[in-house]
Order: sequence, then C-alpha cells, then structure tokens
Amino acid sequence: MVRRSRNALLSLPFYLWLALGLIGPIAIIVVTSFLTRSPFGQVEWTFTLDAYRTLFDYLYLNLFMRSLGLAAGNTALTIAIAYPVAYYLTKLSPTKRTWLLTLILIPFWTSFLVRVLGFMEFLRLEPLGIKLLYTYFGVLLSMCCNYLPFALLPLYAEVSKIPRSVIEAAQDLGATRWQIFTRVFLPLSKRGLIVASMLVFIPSLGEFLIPDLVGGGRVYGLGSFLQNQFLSARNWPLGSATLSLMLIITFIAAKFFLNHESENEAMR
Amino acid sequence: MSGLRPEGLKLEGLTKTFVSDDGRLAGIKNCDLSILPGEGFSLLGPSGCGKTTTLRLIGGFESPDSGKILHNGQDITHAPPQKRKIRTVFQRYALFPHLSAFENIAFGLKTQKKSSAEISKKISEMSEILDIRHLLKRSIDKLSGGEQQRIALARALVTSPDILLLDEPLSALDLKLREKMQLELLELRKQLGTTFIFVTHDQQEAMVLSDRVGVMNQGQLLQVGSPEEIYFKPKSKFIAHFIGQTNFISADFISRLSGEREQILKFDYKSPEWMIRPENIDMRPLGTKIRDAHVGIEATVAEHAFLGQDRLTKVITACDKAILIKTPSHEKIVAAPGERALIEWEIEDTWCVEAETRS
Repeated sequence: MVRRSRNALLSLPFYLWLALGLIGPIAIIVVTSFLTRSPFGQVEWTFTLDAYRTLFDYLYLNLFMRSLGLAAGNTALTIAIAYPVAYYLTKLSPTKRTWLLTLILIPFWTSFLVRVLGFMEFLRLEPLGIKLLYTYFGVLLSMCCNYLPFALLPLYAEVSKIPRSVIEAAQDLGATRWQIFTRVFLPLSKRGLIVASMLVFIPSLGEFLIPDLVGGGRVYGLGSFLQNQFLSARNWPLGSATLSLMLIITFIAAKFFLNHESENEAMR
Repeated sequence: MSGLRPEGLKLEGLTKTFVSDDGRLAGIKNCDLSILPGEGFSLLGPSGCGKTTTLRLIGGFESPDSGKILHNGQDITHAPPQKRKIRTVFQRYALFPHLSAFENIAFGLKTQKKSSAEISKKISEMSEILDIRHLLKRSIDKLSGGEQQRIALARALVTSPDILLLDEPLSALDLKLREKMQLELLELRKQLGTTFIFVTHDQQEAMVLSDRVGVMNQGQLLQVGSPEEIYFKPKSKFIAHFIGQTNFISADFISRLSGEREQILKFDYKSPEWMIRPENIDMRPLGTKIRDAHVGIEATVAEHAFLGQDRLTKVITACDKAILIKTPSHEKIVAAPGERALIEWEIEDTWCVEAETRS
C-alpha cells in the first residue's frame, strides 16, 4: 500500500503536467470550436456549428487534402532517402558509422529557424539548375532535410538488427536480390519503417514554418492557415475547429501505426 | 584419391586472406581437397584456423584470392550462392524470424518456382524424415534450439542439394541432444545420399559424424584421413595434441624402456618425438614379465580419476616423467596411489609424430 501511494506520488507531476499542458489546452480548443466569432474577432459564448460547416466547405477540405499530400510526400521522400542510408550505415566499420551519424546529427544542434533560413539560401543557389525557392518541390526538399534524422535513426536501429546470416540464408536458398529485399529485408525492417513514418508524417502534417518561409506563401498548408486564423484573421472558432479535426486525424494515424506495432509485438 | 573422376567437390590451391576483426591476418592458404559424393567430411580445427572461411568459400559467400572450386567438374569458383547446388545450415540456423516453420522450409522451393502442390508434397516428405510435422505451423521463436535446427536442416535439404554445409551444427545444443542429433545426422546422410561437410572444433563430433576428417590450423590443411588415421597416426604433434589425450615421449625416454632388445631397436632414435595414447597402455602388477611385442617401464601411481566409462590414471616413472593411462573403469585397480606397477604397451601402438623424419 505504502509503495503504491509512493508510486502515485512520483507520477503526480507527470499527470499535473499532462492536465495543464495538454488536456487543458485541448479542452479550450474543442470548446472554442463550437463558439461564435464576434464581428470584431472576439469569441462569443453562443453555441454554433458554423466553424465546422465552414471547414467542410470545398475550399477548406482541399486545404486539408493538400496538407495531407505534403505530409505524405515528405514521408515518402524522407524514407526513400533514409532507408538506403540506414542499410549503408550497417555496412560501415563502427568508427566510420559514428562519424557519419555525428555528421548527420550536427545540424540539429542549431536552431530550427537558422536551419530553415540556411536551407533557403542553399535553394536560392538553384543547385539542381531549376528554380527551387518558393516552389512546392523546394518546400518538400527542405522538409525532408529537416525530418531525415527522425526517419534515419529508427530505421538504422531496426536494419542493424537483421543478422547477416539471415540475408545469406536467403541467398543460399536461391533468392534474387529483389526477392531478398521483398521477402526478407522489408518484412524484417517493417517496424522501423512504421516508427519512421509516424515520426515524420505526424509532425509534418502541422508544419507551417517551412511551407511559409521556403514556400514564400505560395505553398499554403494547414499550418499557415491556422496561424492566419489565430493571428491575422482572428477567427478563433474556425482555427479551433481546424485544430480539432487535425487532432482527430493525428489520433487515427497514431492509432493505426501503434496498432501495427503491438500486432508485431504480439507476433514476436 | 579420385582426382581423375569429375564427381564430387574439388578445391585446388584455394587461398583467401583477410584481416579479421581483431586485426590479425586470417584465412586459408593453398588448400587442396577432394570430397566424394555422399561423403561425410569434417573440417576440424581450433577457432581462427580457417575452417569457416573454407566453408564460406564452398558456399559462395566469399570469393577466393586464388585457386579453384570444382563441383562435378564444373568451375564454380566465382558463382554466387544462388547458382550452386550447395546449401548451408548456419551456425545459429539463421531462420527467417518473420516466417512460420513451414514458410521457412518453403522459401527455397518458392525461389525455384515450384507449384504449391509440389511444395506441400516435398515439405510433407521432409517433415516425415525429420519428424517435424507437428512444428510446421509454429513461429520460429516458439521453437527450442533442437527444433530450430531440424527446421534449418529441412529448409536446406528440401531443395535436394548435392552438398550440405553445416557450420558448427551442434554447438548450440546441450550434451544429451547433441549425442542424439549426431546419430540422426549420420542416418539422414545415409538415407539421402547427400554430401555433408561439417565445420567443427569438437574432435569427438568430427570423428563420429564423418568418413574423413581434415585437420586445419593457421589457414592450412594439415592432414586429411579417416578418424582412425587422424587419431592414431597424426602427422604432426599439433594434430596429436589437438585430438584426444596423448602421452608424448622422447627418444631419450624410449632408451629407458625395458622389453626385448630388438623390440626397442624398432624405434628410430633419430626421431625426437613419439606418442602413445592413454588407452593403449596397460597397467600390470609389479614383477610381471613384459609380454611379447611390448615395451614397458616401472612407475608409481600418482592418482586415479573416475570418468564414468573409463578411469584415468596418472603415473610417474623413475625419470620423473608423468604418463596418463586410460583403462575401462570396470577393471580392477592394479595399484593404489603411491604404489608401484608395471606399465606396458604394444610397440606397434607407438607412433612417431614427426612424420618427415620417420624411417
């Protein structure tokens, strides 16, 4: 009994933090989303579904789809780059591997804003010989560059656990390179892929700084829209409704990934 | 051996060197070897002797620096593992953890594009032979070490390879299971007619499992022969030392032995190093006459050790030389510790371990 109450006491700060920092704001957002915007941009205590009605308008749904598309595109691109690198890392000697991992992580010791501004200067040089700054592709590249470690680390952790002998066993049994990849390598690194996708997809859904700065306002995503509702347009109910919908989408996505995870866990 | 016949596996001057993880130069040097179809062959040696490298070269996981590998007369030196009719049972079995036992066994058949009816039929036959029918639906981590090994064997053998390579196949099993599996592997080979090539550091395992044994050390194949040859007629002191217990005796010691003069003269005194196995030595009561064709010496018993089946006795001779004697434990003890006895052995059992100086 004593131990249990002590454990409860130890977890108390966490629950307090959760209540103040997460549950509280979410509750405020959800409540606000059902309220009315006064003509002067204030919130009035009158219940209405107006915000949601506006949201399900074609224009806003389109916005949602575009943000989902950007997040999905970023996830796909990031993983397509991180996956081979993760495999390459497992082939290196421990010294070289540590060096490479450090090089990959060093930029993350600088401020996010500085990194984005720096990347913009890089894009301005048009390294691929085409205009990149203030384009959709430029935004995608910049996001990918920022999210790469979040995909690389879980992928590397999973790929490095695949024993070489298992790959050799597949070769021994006559599997072609493609068969080895699809029947052995891919299923054995599935967990890493799921975690990496989750870590990239969910935060990039609400990303607004990169589309805003790198896209120069031309790549208008949910993030920018939200920022506008709260700061410029002062339509808090609409902003809150958007946020609520995003929370639901995020929740479903997280649930989907985590279910997969626990299924795998059960299989092991 | 069968140098003219194209059948079987032939290694010619195979060389592969590399720097191992701990910075040493490892690999094999100029290895020549012929293995007959259906033969059970063991590569035996201490760790780092090059036996695993040899196996990996045969399996196609490494490419040699020089030399050739011929399989049924065909040069497969640089063929990838996929293109060889050779399968491997890996040391830790290397089963696919995400597949069931059945799917593991089916893997090699699927890459051969066999129909599902044929796959089922072949797996069913193989599970009968290996007695694994009840394991097929299980996932790999629900299997014990011994069960995993059977699945690994089935996975390799179901594709009907000419040659099966087994890397320390029994090292992960406990003693009882190991003894059982040794006999099963023998039967399996006889039944299927597949060549089995083992890599092992366990001399007893090598002798039980194979028709011939190749002893390796420091990248060199030192001797190839039947288990009896390797055991009783080792070509060098290293082999004699590595396999079983041995008494090494010098020419100087031999000059002190008693027996008929001409019997002792049979020893070539120029050869410095001789050996006699502990089980070839008899212990008899003091004062007994040395038998014909035997040599002997008086000694004091230092201690007896009961090994179950056998008894190991350490005796000390007059010139302070310790000698080990192994006798069946059901035989009576001839002399208690501290007492003296006559030890003798048949002169033919003495073997010169420096082959090059042997007359």
